[in-house]
Amino acid sequence: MEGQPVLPGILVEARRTLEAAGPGLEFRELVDQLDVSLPVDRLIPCCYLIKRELGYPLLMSVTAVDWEDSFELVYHIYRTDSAFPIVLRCRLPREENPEAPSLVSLWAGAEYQEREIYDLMGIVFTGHPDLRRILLADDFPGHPLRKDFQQDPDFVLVPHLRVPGYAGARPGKASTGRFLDE
Amino acid sequence: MNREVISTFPMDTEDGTLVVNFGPQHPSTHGVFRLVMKLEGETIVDAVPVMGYLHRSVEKLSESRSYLQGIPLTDRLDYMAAMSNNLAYALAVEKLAKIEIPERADYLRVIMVELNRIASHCMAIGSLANDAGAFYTPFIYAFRDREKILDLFEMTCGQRLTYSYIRFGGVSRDIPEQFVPLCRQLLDEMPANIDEYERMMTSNEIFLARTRNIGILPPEMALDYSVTGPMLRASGVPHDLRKVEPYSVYDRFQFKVPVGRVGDVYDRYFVRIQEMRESVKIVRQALDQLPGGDARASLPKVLRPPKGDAYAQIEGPKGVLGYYLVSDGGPMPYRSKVRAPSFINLTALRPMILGYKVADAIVILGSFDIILGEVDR
Repeated sequence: MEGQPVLPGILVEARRTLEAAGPGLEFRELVDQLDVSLPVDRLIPCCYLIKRELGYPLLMSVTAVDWEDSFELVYHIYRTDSAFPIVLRCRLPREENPEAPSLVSLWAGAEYQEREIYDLMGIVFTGHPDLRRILLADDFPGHPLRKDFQQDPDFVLVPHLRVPGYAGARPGKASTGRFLDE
Repeated sequence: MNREVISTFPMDTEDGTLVVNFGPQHPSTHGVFRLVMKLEGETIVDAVPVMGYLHRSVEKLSESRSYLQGIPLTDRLDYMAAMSNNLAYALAVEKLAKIEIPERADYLRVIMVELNRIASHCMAIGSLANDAGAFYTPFIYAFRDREKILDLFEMTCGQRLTYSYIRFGGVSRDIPEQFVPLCRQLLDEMPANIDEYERMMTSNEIFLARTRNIGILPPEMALDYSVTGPMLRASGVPHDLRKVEPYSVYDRFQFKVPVGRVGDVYDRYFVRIQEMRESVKIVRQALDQLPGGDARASLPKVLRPPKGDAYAQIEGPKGVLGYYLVSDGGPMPYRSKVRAPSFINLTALRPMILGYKVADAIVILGSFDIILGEVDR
């Protein structure tokens, strides 16, 4: 016997405010978080509402998932006095450089997290002040967290240290790392 | 690695500025962090933090390993507080697969994580004193106590750095018999030891001159930059996940959340000192209430959580440490993301050091308490 999950009051209020802001938002009922799927062009207005009107000051986590047919951006936004986050999900088309608006103008804390997603997943954040790779080398080929990533066997991080016979990765699975040639 | 960064700063600038490359091989960077600074005299006018030298693609690696095999990877992120990493990962997997764990395991987890917080803060304040010019004396004092905690961990799980002790479903094994008396002895010694650090640093005139009103982070800016942990609390925001969303059994203990007033380097140091005292209290209460029973729930050999995603976060020693796991129903995570507090706190570094002198930048970076294993992952 399970009843309908009951959202905490603070999230009910958040849901009402977001619903009033316009159509296109899909809500998922969860007990401890407000899960909102929204089109990518509604992201900035909704985040503005969440931060300025609902008073959620902490952008805790920004991440992306590669679903092979599309990308999904996931944002976890918290208050400092409540354990219940608002989770925003945006679907992006699966293409070479999908674009999403950057949240740096609202939360400066998004800066490095968006750079990391650009680096590892290849999603371009428009309006980001300094969108460069952050963890990998500037000339690294490809975006390794994509499911179809193949390591480039010819890429060597330090070119002048290249040793004959140490050619790089074996062809095949993406996660094999580097091995000596047989 | 970052040829472009250098090229953005012409080395012979006509306006009399000088570009200094600080790190990655420099002891004050606490690892392999690199900071390219543009100086006018001694004053920093621009800075570019560069990271990634320790990147081991932990997130990608865990996509081709089972959930259990993901635990040793978490040890290697924040290697000064591996227990916290284990706990955050275990909580995320338990949320994803809806696993119930025995009560005793919850208590053992809290004991280990809090001991680990003391050890991590020992390292933080020791190296901060080092950065401020107290060459290795406070550091060795702090290491003396960290050593005792590591002995307790070694006795429990056989490891001194990469524990893999806290697992989903509980902990890997129960504590040995001698653990509780030795731990109590450590807790009895600890307040006097913390007094000793304080005698060396808290009212030391040189330390005060180096840390007071240096690197002030206002609360609004801290929140804006997603800064968490002791840094956020030092800025005066009483945000502690152990109070805000008590995971594990934290709602059963009494402890205070220390906050700072100014948000400078000194406050960050002092918040850590007070947190160590609070952690001692928590461990003592946990030992008193420690229930009997199993330390591990029985689980299938290969865990296949149902489709879905879960985000779990804990209050790590460096800040909010979160794991976001996505399952497609298979034995390996479809996506595993780490919300690394050191990495995200570093976003605030550049605005914080602009306008300060080079020597202050080193102290400010020291007060962040970054661990490069976690920054670069």
